[in-house]
Amino acid sequence: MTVKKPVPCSIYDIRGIQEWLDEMALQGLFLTGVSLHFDRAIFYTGVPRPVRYRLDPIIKNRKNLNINEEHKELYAQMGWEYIDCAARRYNIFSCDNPDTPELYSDPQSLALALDNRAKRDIRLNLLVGLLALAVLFLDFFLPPGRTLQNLLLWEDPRDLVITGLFYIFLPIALLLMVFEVRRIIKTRNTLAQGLPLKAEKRRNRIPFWAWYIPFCCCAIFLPRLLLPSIGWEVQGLDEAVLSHPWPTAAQLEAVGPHPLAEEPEMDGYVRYNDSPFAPVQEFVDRYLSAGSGPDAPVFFPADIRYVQASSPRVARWIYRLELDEESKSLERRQHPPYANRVSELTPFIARDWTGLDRLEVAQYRYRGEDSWTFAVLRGNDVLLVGYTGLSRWEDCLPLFLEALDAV
Amino acid sequence: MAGREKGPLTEPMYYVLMSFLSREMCGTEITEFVERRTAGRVKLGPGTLYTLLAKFQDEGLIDETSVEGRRRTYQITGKGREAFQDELERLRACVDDGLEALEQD
Repeated sequence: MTVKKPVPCSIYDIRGIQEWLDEMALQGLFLTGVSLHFDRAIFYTGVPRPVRYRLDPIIKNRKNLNINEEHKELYAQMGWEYIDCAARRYNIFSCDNPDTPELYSDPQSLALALDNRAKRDIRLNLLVGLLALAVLFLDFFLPPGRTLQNLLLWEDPRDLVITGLFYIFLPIALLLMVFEVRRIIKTRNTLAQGLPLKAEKRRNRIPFWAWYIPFCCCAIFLPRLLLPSIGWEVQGLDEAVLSHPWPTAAQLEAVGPHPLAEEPEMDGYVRYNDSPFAPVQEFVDRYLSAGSGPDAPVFFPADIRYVQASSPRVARWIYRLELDEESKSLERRQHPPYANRVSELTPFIARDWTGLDRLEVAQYRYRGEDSWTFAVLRGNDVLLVGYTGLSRWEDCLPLFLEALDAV
Repeated sequence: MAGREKGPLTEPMYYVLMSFLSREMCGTEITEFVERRTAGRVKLGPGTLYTLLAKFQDEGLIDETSVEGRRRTYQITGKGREAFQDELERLRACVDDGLEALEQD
């Protein structure tokens, strides 16, 4: 009959594990194998008798994790039978002859075997830790700065939560790694001094699946099930209440060479969002369809992206991120697969304008028409406006500044 | 210490290295040699023996000379002899110091 029992010792507690297995044998439970993560031990039942179980640190590389036949036979010749490999760290051997010398007859040689293991673990953990930190650094600070943008604007709540959990769990995982390495080094040093190891207090370990499955649910599946990937709310142009009285198509065309006779009826939508760092976020996309059918002309007088940040500093960050994104978008739209391509692009150039902290303007042709996009930073306000038509940006900008001042 | 830079040898290290002085040996022969030589005072476990053999090979103190089935045979190198000689002199100096201290007592 086989019996499964939780291993009540840490995998670093060599002495504790050995003593526990020896005790199990005295109770008639003889080890036949262990679970993959060494959190469960499998025994067969028999007549109680003293058997010694000893752990042999695996010192080979990953390719040679499993003990080979030669190794097994040599140990068997010296009275030690191979049982199983535990958590890729140790080979477990047993011996029921009390006169057979210990597997490691002196602590220093066990320290040597552990030394190899410790060096491997230190190298591996250091590499994993550095890689993780590098990923965090690149993700947060280097372009395109998606994480920083998402943190400030909450555009993708699901991604934000998953990234947040990653940022929380990663330092914990790194600390655990450091803790593991410290324990191995401490054990090795104790043995190297010729001192015997002490068994630690026993405590049943949580099975691997019991923490791994909830962890995966919390970190990966639940956010995907419960959180939307888009934080925006969308409303039709008619029902939307705008944060500012942005200039209409007729007002924009009025400062150009061909003013409109009357205000055209516009189609479009408004996207809203908010976050603690940017309480007002508004994207207004307005277009004018003249007639119907596939060949009917479509005008794009202006699209407006407005963000009111919680402070001027945050506004500066958002301005930089938005400007980078818009620059890349314009660059991208010069090439396939975009059917309506941008051409003759003059990238964003800084301009002076009284009362503004920053003003940058890009000019280009879109759908064969003159177009421009300006980006404005003023105090807590960030405003990006894209326009296609004959009016000049210098003439349209005052209209938008008036709208900003109107609230 | 010309032969080995990593400190004095432990007792099992000393006897394992000693076992190769007269001839090449395999694992079981080393164990028997050490037990016989020390009249059973030092008994080598397989973990100890194969860890030491691997370490000595890494440090260039011994070489593997042949593999016949599961039987691997090793021989001592010049560096290994020097390391053994150094350890012997260190131990001799320790014993001499001890004897001299006893005589003065």
